Amino acid sequence: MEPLTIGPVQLALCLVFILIAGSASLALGLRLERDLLWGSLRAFAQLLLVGMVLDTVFQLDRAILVLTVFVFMVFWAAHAVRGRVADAQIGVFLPTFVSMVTSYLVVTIVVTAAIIQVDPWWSPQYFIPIGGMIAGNSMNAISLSLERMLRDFRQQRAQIELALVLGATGAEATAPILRSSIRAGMIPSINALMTVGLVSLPGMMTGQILSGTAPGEAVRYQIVVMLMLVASTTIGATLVTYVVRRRCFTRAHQLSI
Amino acid sequence: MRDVDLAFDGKSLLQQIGLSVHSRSDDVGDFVVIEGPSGGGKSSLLRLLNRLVEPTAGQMLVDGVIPAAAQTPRLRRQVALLQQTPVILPDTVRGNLLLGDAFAPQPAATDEAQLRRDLDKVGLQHISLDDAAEPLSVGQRQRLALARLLRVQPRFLLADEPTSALDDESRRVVLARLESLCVDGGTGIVLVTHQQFTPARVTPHRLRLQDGRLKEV
Repeated sequence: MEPLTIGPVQLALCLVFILIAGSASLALGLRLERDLLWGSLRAFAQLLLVGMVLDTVFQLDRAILVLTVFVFMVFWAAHAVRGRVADAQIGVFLPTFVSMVTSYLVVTIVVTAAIIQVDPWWSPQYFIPIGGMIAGNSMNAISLSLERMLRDFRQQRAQIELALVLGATGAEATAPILRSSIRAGMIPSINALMTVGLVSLPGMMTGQILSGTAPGEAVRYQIVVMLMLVASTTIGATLVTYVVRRRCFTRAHQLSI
Repeated sequence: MRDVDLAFDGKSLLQQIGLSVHSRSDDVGDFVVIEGPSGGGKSSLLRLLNRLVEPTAGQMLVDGVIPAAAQTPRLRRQVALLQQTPVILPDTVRGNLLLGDAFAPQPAATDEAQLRRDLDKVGLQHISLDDAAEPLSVGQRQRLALARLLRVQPRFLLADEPTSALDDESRRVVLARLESLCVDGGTGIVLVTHQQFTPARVTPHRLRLQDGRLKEV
């Protein structure tokens, strides 16, 4: 069945939902009207703009453009990680960005080239949504891992220095913290494997079903996505924590945060 | 150390520190006692010697050469630091005693008899290796920390107020052990303390750290 399209009139009709929320805000004195209005305008503008960019990228069908969009998405994901980790002493942006680009690129290429077997592997219809899902989901894992690691470095300073005093390298002294930090980042994506389909229907699968894909086909795609997210969160969290840990120590194995 | 300065956030803590300590394989090692008011940088001086912090200026030399940064873990085992507050992990006495073995280039003996000897030397004869370490008293914890540190067989021992929170018996045992290491083992000792201490078997080199400078007493 062909999907039903949404035209400008129908889109405008959706504003009724914002009116409902705005009325509630006024009636209950929530003072969220301004945020609602600004948020709605931004959502419209940002998504329409992205739609136009993606339309152009899809039409031009050039590898360099697809990869640029991918790097742009990862840049903002790394920016969001920096915002959440907010550590004044250790610069996390560059190591996060480089690790994310590397790991997500590998996982995305494996999915498009080897599993879905798209030709060419960078075909925008597949590469961009899959890369976007990886960046969005792994961003949370990396934030969790980094927050946990930097917090534990500060809280367990005495234990780390004890190991250093006993002749440990910085890596040896922080190995248990690194392990628990990577675990903290991986657990949500593993939990998602346990509850998917029971608690909620994943966004990508519902999107495919709405656009006319048979549910059985959409489910197979969703399984690929879930498993690739486990891999990308693992690789992303591991790479980033290892690289950022190096920044937390001097060359003489002195804890510098 | 030669002309060493240390500053944190632009605030000067130590200035122009010069200190030389010797260990000797066939003779008595140096025994340096550093006194001074609390907050005067005594702990920072030991952290510099153990290379937990880097000097702002000056040189740190071991056997006449500046050690490479990568050699620091090995250096820390030679110039070992006994911290003021012993860090005891939630593990057994054995687990705590063996903590440093994981980082040793050559593993030391870990048999029951050896571990018992390690504990005996710091007066912990009555403690079982399989006891939980956390419930030990402060004095026992400090003695366990000393036994753990001595398993790395350091050439120098830096002791940061090691007896300030200890009962009389623990204080006596710890200080006697430091003295024995110096006299019988040739270990170079640097003891930072605000308590009066006169070793019986060795004449200490007494220094005072005040206003960021190290002076002869």
